[in-house]
Amino acid sequence: MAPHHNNSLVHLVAELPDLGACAFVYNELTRSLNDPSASMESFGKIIEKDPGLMAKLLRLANSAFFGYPSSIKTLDEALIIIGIQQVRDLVASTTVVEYFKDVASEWVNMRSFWEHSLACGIAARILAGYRRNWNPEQSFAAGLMHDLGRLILFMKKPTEIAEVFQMSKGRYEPMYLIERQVLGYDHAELGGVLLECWNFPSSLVNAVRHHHDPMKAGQDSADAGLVHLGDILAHAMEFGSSGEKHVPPCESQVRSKLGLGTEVLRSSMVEIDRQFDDVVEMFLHDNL
Amino acid sequence: MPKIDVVDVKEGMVIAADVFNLNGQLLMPKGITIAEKHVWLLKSWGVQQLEVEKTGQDDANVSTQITEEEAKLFEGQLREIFGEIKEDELWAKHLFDLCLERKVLKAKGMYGAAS
Repeated sequence: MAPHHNNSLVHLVAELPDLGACAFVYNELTRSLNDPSASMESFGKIIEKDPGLMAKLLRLANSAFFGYPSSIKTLDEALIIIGIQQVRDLVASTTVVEYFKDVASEWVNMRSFWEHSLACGIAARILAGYRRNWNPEQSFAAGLMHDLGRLILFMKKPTEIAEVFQMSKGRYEPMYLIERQVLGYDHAELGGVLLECWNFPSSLVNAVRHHHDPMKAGQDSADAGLVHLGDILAHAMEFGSSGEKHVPPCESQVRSKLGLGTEVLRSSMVEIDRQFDDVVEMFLHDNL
Repeated sequence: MPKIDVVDVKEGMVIAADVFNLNGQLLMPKGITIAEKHVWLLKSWGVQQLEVEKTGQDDANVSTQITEEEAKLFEGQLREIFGEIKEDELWAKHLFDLCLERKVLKAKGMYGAAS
């Protein structure tokens, strides 16, 4: 994408309300993660400042999402078993859903938008597990956030997005290509700029930015590839929609890059179905 | 007729062949619809397997359980979402088939049971 686009996108993103208050816990956790003297207790103390978030994390830890055989009763247990960085990335996911919960659009039902996003996150996380990635929660976060750019378009570019939706009627052309025609950029690029401005890790930024062209993500192409496949599965399994009505085309190189063949499809789908209701309940029940 | 293990026997299934105990005594004649007490009876007599009529629970006969029209409808819905899949796109084809199978099983309330 040309740099002048990037500049105007940064301006667009800067018009949004500050993430600050919502991201307090996330930022504190990140600070402590970078502080070698931080103790396990200090992480728990940060999360305890937000009781709603703490309850949500414990519910998530005890759901089909993790599928642990015994119950996790305290935050300290959750931090040890799930991992601190992993918990931090789950906090990022809940924070972002909270931040955007009041967005409305005449084009997309918001519950449907988040169902699609959550399904993509669940799928990316499960596929990351097959690859034995050390932090599948970041793949979940990236999947969950992959279409945030479209929410910004709903908020900030209503005329253009209306044109995109009109043009996409009765056509199989992927919507992100129509966005590029109308706007000169697409929702993936815009989402990447947003997450960059919010100082999310670059692997997460690139996974979102390149979820339609993962092989262009350089050293983060595997992260982007997982979201790419997660998006395809979420569409194919008909979990909600962020506006796109069709299964996006799959880049064949991605599957060999990830080492994921057809043999993982069936078990992944079963696992996605097993987790979906729990995760939706957890993330959307207070919000939508 | 499919033979199933007694642990998989459920209420509402129809017995397809006479069931005998180990001494050769008739326990249940064919044609009986299984109720809760029958399950208990079969287990207490140590019956291991029995033949049942095709039922909704029988996943070996999935394709016979929904009408051709319904199957076409599901396939059409998925084609609409997937668009054209080219001959050499094996991955997409496989995904399509799995999604169709899932849709059919879900419609019959059997999804997850077979997996």
